[in-house]
Amino acid sequence: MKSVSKCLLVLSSLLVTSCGYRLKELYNSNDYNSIYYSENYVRTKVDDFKGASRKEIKLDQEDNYVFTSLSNPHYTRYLSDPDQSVYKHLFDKTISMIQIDDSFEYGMNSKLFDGWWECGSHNEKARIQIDEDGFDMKFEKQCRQRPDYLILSFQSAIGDIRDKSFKQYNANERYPKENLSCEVTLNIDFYLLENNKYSCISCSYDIEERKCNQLDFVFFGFELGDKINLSLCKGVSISYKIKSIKNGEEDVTEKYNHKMEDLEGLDKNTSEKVYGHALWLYEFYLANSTWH
Amino acid sequence: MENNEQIEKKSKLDFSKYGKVISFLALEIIAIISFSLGNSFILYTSISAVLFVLLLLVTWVEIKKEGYPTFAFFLIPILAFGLFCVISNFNKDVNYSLSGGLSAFVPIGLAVFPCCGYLLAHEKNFKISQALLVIFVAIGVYTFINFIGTMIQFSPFHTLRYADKYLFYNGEIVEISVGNMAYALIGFRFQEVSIEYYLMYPIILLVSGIFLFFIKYKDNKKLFITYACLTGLAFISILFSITKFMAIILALLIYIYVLILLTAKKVLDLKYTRIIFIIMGAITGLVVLVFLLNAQAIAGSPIKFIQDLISGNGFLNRVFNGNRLALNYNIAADGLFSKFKLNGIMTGPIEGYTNTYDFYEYYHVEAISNTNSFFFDTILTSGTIGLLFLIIVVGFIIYSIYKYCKNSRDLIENKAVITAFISGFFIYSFVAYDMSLMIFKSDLFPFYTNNLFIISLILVGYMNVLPLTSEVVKNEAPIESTIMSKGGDNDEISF
Repeated sequence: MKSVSKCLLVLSSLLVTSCGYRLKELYNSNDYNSIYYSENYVRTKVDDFKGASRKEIKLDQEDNYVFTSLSNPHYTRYLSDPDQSVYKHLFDKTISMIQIDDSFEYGMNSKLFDGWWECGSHNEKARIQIDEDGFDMKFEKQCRQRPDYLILSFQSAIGDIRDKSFKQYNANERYPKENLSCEVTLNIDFYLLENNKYSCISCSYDIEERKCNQLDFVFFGFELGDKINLSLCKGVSISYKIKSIKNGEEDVTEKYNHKMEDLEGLDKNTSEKVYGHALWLYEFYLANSTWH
Repeated sequence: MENNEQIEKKSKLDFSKYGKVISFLALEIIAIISFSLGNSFILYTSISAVLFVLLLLVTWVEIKKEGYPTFAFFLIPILAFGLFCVISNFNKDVNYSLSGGLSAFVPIGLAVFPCCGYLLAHEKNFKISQALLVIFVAIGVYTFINFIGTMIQFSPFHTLRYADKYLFYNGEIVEISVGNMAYALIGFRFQEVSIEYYLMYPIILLVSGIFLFFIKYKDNKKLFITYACLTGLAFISILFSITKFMAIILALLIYIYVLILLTAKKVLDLKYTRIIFIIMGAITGLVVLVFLLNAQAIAGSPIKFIQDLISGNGFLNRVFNGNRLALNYNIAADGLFSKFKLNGIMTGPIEGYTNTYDFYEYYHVEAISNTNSFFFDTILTSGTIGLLFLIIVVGFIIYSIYKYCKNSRDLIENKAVITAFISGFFIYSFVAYDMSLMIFKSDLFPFYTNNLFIISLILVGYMNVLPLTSEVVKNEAPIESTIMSKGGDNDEISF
C-alpha cells in the first residue's frame, strides 16, 4: 500500500508539471496566409485590457516629433550617426524587438518584431492585417526602462472580403485595379500594468493621404521618453478609423469600406466584388527599451 | 637477474598507487559525457587534449604489447575517418557546430576515447559494473530533466494531440509541427529540439532494464530500485511523447534488446541469435546497397536495370523512392563518386562569401541539411571516402562485440548490456539520428559529436582487452557481492 501511494505521489507530481506553456498559441499550417483576403484579418483581443483607465493624447507633429516617412527630419534626429543611411538603420534586420529581448521571438505577433520593415515579397507572411477594430498584443515581459521613441511601419490595403462560400471569388483579382488612396486616424493604445491594474495611454494621429496596395509604406513614429512614459508597459492595441478613401478626387469610401456583415444576404454566385479596407502592419519597435 | 628487474621497475612509470584515482576520474568523465554536458565543446576539447597527452605517456608504457597491435589497427580507420571529417567541405559550413578550429579535435577525440577504454580495462580498480551504473544514471538524469522540461512546455501526449498544429517563431510559422518537438538541455540552455533527438536518450536508457533480470531484489534492493526507476523513467518519457514513426523504431529496438536478454539468460541458444543478427545485418547491407545504387541519377545499364525494377514495382517504389526518408537518402547518395561528394558538401554559404552563384556552382551545395541517418549523413559531412572508413570502423565494432561476447570473462549481464547499448545506439542512429536537432537554430551536430557515440567508443576500447594473459583479466565479482562485502575500502566507489 505504501509503495502504491509513493508511486501515485510521484506520478501526480509529474502530471502537475504538464502546463503546456508553449501550447497557448497554436495555429494550422496556413493560418493568416490565405488567398482569401478576409481570412487574414487578425482580431485578437485581450480581456485584461478591458476597463483600463484611459489618458487620451492627440499627438502633435512638432511637440511630439511625429514623422510618417524616413526622410522627415523628425526621424533623422534619432539616428546616432548623422551620416548613417536611414535605410541601413532599419533594413539590415538588426533593428527589431527580437534583438532587444528574446521574449518577442514567440507567437504570431513576432511578425511585428522580426526586423522585416517592408513587404519584401513575403506578402501575408510578413504582416499582420487588421480592420478598424484592430487587435491587442500582450507582451510576455514588462517594459522596465522607458523607450525613447516608437516606429510602426504599415501600409493601407483594400481587398475583396468575400469568403470561401462565394464561388466566383478570384484570388488573382482580389485587389482593385484602381489607384486608390486613403486617409486614416491611427490609434495606438499602450497598456501599463502597475499593482495588478491596467491603465491606458491612448495616442492618436491623423495620417496624411497615402496610396492603397501600392507599396506606399508609412513609417510612423513619435517621441516617447518622459513625455509619454512607457515604463511598465505590458501590452499594446493598434486600431484606426478611416477618414476617407479616394479614387483621384472622387470620394469612394462607401464603395471600398465594406464590413463582413455586409456579406449577409448576398448571392453566393455573384461575381461582383465586395471590398473592405485593412492596414497591413509590418514592424513595431520601441527604441532603447528593456524588458523583464 | 635482480639488478635487471630493479632496472626494469625503475624505467617503467608506476601508476599502481594512483589506480583508484584514475578509476574515479575516469568515472567522472564518463558521467559528464553521458549527461551530455559535452555539448559544451570547450569541455570536450579540454578533456580530450588532456587525455591525449596522458595517454601518450601511460598507454605506450603500461599496456602489454601482445594485445596492442590489434587495437592499434582499429585506431587507423577511426583516425582516418576523423581526418576526413576535418578536411571535408562540410567543415566550412557555417551551420556546422564545430566549424573552424574546433574540428581539429575530432580526430584526436575519436582516437583518444577508445584508448581511454583500453587503458581502463587494464586498470584493476576500474569496475565495468560501476561504469555502466554511472553511464545509465547520468543518462537517466539527463532524460529526467528533458522529460520535465517537455512536460512543462508541451504536456503529455502532445505528439499525438498536436501533430498538425504549429507555432510562430521569429515572424514565421515553423515548418515542424508541435507534435514533432520536445524540450531538451543543450549545453547549459534549454532549447526546442526534434522528437528524434529527445527520444534517443530514453530509448537507450531502456537497456538498463536488462539488469533487472540478473539482480535479485532481496540481495540488493537499492541497486534493483535504481535500475527499476531508470527503466520506468525511460518508459514514461517514451510513452508521453511517442509518435507513430518512433513507435516502429522502438518496437525494433525492444526486439533487439529482448533477443540479447534471452541469449544472455540462455533461453535462446547463442548460435540462433547469431544467425538472426547475421540475417538482419545482411538484409540491412543489401537495402543500403540498393539505396546507394538507386540514388544515382546518371547510371550505366546494370544500375539502370535495378532502378527500373524498383520504379516498376509499387511496394519497392514506395520503400526506395516514395517516402520522406528515401527522398533525403537519394539526394545524399546521388553522385557518390563525383568530385562533389568525395569530400563532403555544405548546406549553405560560408559567411562573407559574396558571389553566391559561383559558390553554389563550385561547392554543389545540397538542398538538405540532414538525412536522419548517420550513414547517409556521413556522405554529406565526411564525403564518400570518409564513409568508406566509417564502414570499416562499424565493421570493427561488430567484430569487437563478437570477440568480447565470446572470449571475455566479464559477467554475462555486463556483456549483454554493453552489446545492447552499442547496437541500440547504432541502429537508432541509422534510422533516426537528427543532425539538425534544434528546431529554431540551424546548427548541425553530426553523429560523431554525440555523447552516446563517444561512450560507445570508450566501451569498444574496453571490449578489446581480452584474456590473453591472466594479468590482463580481472575476474569481476558480481556487483551485489562487491557492495555487500563488509569492511569495504573507503576509496572504492560504493553504493
